[in-house]
Amino acid sequence: MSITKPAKSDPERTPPELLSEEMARKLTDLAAALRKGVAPSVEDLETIERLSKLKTLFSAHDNGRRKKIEIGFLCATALLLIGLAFVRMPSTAVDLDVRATKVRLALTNQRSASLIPGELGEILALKQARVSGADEVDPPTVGESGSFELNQFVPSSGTTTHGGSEDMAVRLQEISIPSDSPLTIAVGVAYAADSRGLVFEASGSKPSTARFGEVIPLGKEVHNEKTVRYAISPVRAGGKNLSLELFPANSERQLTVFRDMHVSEVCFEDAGHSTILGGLAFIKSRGEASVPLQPSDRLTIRSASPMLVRKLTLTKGELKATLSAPRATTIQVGEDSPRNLMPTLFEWIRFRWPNQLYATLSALVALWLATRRWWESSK
Amino acid sequence: MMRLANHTMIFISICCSALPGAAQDRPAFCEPVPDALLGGLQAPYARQVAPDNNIYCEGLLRNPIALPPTSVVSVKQDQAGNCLFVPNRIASLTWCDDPQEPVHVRLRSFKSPMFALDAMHTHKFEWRTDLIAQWQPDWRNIAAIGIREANIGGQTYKLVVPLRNGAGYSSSYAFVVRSKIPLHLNTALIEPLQPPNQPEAVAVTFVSGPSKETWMATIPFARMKNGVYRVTFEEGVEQAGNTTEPIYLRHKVCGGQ
Repeated sequence: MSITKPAKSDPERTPPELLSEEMARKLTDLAAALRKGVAPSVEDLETIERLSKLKTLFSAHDNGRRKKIEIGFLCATALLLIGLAFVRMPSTAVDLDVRATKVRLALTNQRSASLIPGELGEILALKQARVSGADEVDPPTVGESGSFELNQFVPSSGTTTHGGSEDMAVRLQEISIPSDSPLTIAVGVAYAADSRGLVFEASGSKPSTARFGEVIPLGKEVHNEKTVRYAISPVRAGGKNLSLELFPANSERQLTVFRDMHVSEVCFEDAGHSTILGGLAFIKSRGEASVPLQPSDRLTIRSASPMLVRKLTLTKGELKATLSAPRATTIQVGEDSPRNLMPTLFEWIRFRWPNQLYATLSALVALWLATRRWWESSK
Repeated sequence: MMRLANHTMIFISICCSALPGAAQDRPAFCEPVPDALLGGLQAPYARQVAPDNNIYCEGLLRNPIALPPTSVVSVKQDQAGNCLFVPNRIASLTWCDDPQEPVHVRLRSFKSPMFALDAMHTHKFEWRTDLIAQWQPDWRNIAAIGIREANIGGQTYKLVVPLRNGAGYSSSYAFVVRSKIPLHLNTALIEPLQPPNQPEAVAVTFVSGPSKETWMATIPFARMKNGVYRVTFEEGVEQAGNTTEPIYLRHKVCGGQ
């Protein structure tokens, strides 16, 4: 028996489709013959059987092609998901809230030439100030070797003062830094026998200057009684590697070292060791609320644009730094094998458009299932 | 305003670095300001020749934009009455110091227009009054300070020599302090450096100076020995403790008081 030629030849139609049509036509003819009372011939039955076998053969061939397409689609989807899960964002916004014993900052060129630890130009009252690395000291007799110590004046017993309301603390009036050259400032915790203070180290190609006021007595014998007046004698120290250890008179009070200062680099390390005591890192493009920082964690942060030290304070012997990096390119935390905290593309999409992400994934799965079903039914 | 000032300073520093030879014809003691920044001024700060053929600098500068620390900007011998410069005369600035020591004479206007003069002379300085009489004729509106270097005990100090308009001498010195922040200075700490002696605190009363942000006080030095004194104006120890930058005052008594 030969297969009857289809009514209309169509090169775009697949063999299973052509076979289905032929078979449908044969079955219709057979049904019509049965309705007329004509018994189906053996030839007709064989023809239908051959068509059915051919269709099965072609369908099996078509299933293989469909599976290839499906596997390809799944591979592409898997690759896309792997890419989204592993490829990290080029930059992200990071906020850090860190407690540490020392922080090193490289200042940007956009800065004020004057720094005063304290709030809004307040003169800082100190119990003690230790200065080292000074290339120039005024008056020179105070520190000829470049190192000197200024102490809060303690009146001896038996002296009479004018009113008794004098503040004998050493005054830190100003720290001037060069505004037009690179400068690195390290701020740390200074330790003394009974108190903690602030270490301030400024290193640059141009000298930084600190201005102090030391209370000195101006004694005078009046009627065998020593009446003392006090005055503030200015002391200025300048140097390219100036180091100051400042012990506030009121150690309980929070001391703000910097506020809203732009820096290009931040480092929480000293002599190869991490100085971090604890804190939190908030990575804006990640789903997690925050990443806790453990003592001795090495924290590496780099940014494509200047970072902002919102405030750096000394509170109860600890430095607290609040820092914002709007375009951090590297943020790593850990010891030997640091954990990269830069968000992946998937985390970023999940952070930016969480509802849209899940809706799109659901829609894709539903579409795929519907397509498969339609495909199978079309056979 | 501060940001604007910073940007302007950056611009000026770029201009200064870009124009290294712009002010080369002026002596080293003159203001190192590039000529490019003096454009548009009616009488720009420039090299001049004094009647004794010495070179000095005189003219107008741009308004200062930096924020200097609280400091003494003028030390003059106290002079009663109005001292006005009139044109076409020879004016003289005098001081009392070792006659062989050259002193850098530095005049700056307290208020606009910003007249400036820098000269390096011994004993006294004479110059024609044409420019100063035109731009800032009132001696009270001019910050005047004489500076010379001295080696004392192996250290180099910049000594401040009180200047006087015209001949004569007064041992009362008028100090003008400039500060951007409000101050309540009420004491002058005078620390003798040469000859060394015990420091002394002198109560002073500051009155408003010739321009805003300036304050003026006069201290008689008649009873002080000739020498060098470190002078600091300050608030009392009961207060915050603001002080001026100290100056090393060269005090010497001359005849003709």
